[in-house]
Amino acid sequence: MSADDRALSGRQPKAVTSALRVLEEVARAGSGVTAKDIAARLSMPSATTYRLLNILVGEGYVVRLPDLSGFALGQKIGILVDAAVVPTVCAAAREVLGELRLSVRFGVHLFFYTNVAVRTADADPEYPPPEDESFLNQHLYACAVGKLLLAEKSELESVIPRWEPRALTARTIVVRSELLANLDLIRSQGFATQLAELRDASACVAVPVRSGTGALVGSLALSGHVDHEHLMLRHVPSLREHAERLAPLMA
Amino acid sequence: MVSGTPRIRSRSPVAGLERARLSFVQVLGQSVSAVAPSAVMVTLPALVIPDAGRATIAVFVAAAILMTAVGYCIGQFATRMVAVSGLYSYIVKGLGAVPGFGGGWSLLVGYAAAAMASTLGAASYLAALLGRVGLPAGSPLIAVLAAIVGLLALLLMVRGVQLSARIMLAIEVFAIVAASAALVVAFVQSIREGATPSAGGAKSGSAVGFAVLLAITSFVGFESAGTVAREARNPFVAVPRAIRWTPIALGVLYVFAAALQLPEPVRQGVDSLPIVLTLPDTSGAGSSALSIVMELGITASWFACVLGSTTALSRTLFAMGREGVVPSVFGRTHHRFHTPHVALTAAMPVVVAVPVLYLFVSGSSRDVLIGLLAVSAHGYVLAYVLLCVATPAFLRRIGELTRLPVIVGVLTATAMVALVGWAAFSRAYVAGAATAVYVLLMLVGAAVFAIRARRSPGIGERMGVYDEAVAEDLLGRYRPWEVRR
Repeated sequence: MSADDRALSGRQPKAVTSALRVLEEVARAGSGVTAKDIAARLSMPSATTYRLLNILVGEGYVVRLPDLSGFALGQKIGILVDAAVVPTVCAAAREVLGELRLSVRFGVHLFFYTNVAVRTADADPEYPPPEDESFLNQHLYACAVGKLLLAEKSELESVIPRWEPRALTARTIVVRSELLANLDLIRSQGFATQLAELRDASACVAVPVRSGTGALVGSLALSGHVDHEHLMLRHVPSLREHAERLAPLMA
Repeated sequence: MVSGTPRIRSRSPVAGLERARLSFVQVLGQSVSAVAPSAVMVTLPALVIPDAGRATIAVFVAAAILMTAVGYCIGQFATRMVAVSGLYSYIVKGLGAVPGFGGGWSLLVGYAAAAMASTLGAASYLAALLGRVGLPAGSPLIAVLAAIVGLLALLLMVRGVQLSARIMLAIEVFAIVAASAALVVAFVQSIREGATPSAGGAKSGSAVGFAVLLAITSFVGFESAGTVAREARNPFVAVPRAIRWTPIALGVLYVFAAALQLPEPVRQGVDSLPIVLTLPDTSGAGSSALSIVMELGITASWFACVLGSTTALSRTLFAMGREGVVPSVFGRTHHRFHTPHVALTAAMPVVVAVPVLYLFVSGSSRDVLIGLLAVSAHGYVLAYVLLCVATPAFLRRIGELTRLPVIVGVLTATAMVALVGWAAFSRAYVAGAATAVYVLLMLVGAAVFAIRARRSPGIGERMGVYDEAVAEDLLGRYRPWEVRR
């Protein structure tokens, strides 16, 4: 779509409103609703409804079902769902985290993942993580939990559409090829590290939490001072063991 | 009323074929290349002008309007289904299995004959170009060149749809520019020599009818964007847009070309070049830089047309293979390049062999070209008529019928049938060998369908495969707490 098209659609508030109505109606009516039904329920001219539906299908917000007459919400709506869900940690999982926190002298944090973002599920109250969730999401390439997410993707662009990294510290990886090499390392060793890449003195080690099907659902991270890097790395086996115990409690 | 979620597959019936690769411009390239507009620009006006005279421009405008209307009907389908076999699957969805197969087979004949004609066209022009450096022209040389053209096209198309689309687009742009330049130069020369841009009046009303039909054949192929929908990025937008704009853009090009050829001397000047329909009888007559550029351009255009037509042909065969209408081996795709390599490899030798054999029998490239293009035009016209009828039927079936598609569909179908009837009664358009060959091929198709239908009775249910929505496209199966690769 060209810039002209976008400028034009901004001047058609009625069309946008109508399109949103159609989308709402597909959501309300449930999978299989027909175009005719939607037009009738909204008392909208049928030609307009059909055109709007075709546009929504073209954009992936609505899917035309294989019978060609029914409609359902599309995967693209997942972006809205991702923004709406809140991570909840059950009591059993909190117990596992509590045990781990007693055995180490670093911050222990649990993160969840949506398809393209990191969400803080349970941060260590005693040693809080170095940065908040939105900062981590803006700099996925500079933190251990973010790099675990990136390592999961076949194409970097699906999470970071435009590669415009900011050097947060002297050690932040800002060269694309270096990041790709780092992600390869993460895939092969099965955990990610952040060594003064996010903040000058901070360090982090994160191991993945995977569902039964092997999908990345969360990560268990240790945060501390960069001088204690070796001590932190020594905890990787224990982190993995706890991550395995957490997996069935999360998926 | 809400009918509940119909059966959703977990895997697309056309999986294996590349997905979401082609940009809008490349999809447009597919449509334009299958038409080979630059070759048409320098030949068809010259064919139409004697019949239509001053009405030539009106004839091309009328043909453009008619084809734009067909494009509108195709758009009704293309905004609703991601097809891999274009008009074939559309007609099946609108009219059912038997008319659908008729339309699909007719299109196969159309695409195959167009690919054959373009292979021969490319080989003949190459031969003419090589003749300039002293190679002996003749059928053996053309046969060898046709085999080379076919092999090269096959390699490109098996290697990947993106590569062939890119090459197709680049050479077609070159071809159009070359043809336009040649026409402008010829026009300017004739004006300087004092010719007035005028042509005689139309011969008769019936001659104009035939001329419009002839002009329509210069648009066929524009619908082939529908065969690469799965391979296109954002297909619901890109494919309808390409099919909507191609006839309009072609109409502008042809009117421009026709206007430049109205003065008698231009036509003669262009005619004296070894253009499409005089090959190879007068090759070597023109040796100016102008004619070399034009020959290069037209060779390129024919080659792009080989790629465009065979891509469409192979995708239609591929879909039929997946349905079991033709042996399922045609439905296989290459594991690395994600192209229907079996359909391509099976089609290409036929596309090369038929025109070469025909050439050895008839001895004249010109006759072979005209014969093949005539057979091909039959195939397209029937498919277009069926599609226009299928449009309101399809929209009614899915409950999305509005007034405009009914009007456009019925009017366009009626106009095309009337035009064919008009031309048939007035001239020997239909009563030629081409019609006999076409009818014979359609009978072969009917036999193939009858045999396949007897072997597997449920085949009608499986026809009309397209890239339908699968489970992972739906929000219903969405799990927010999970990273997808």
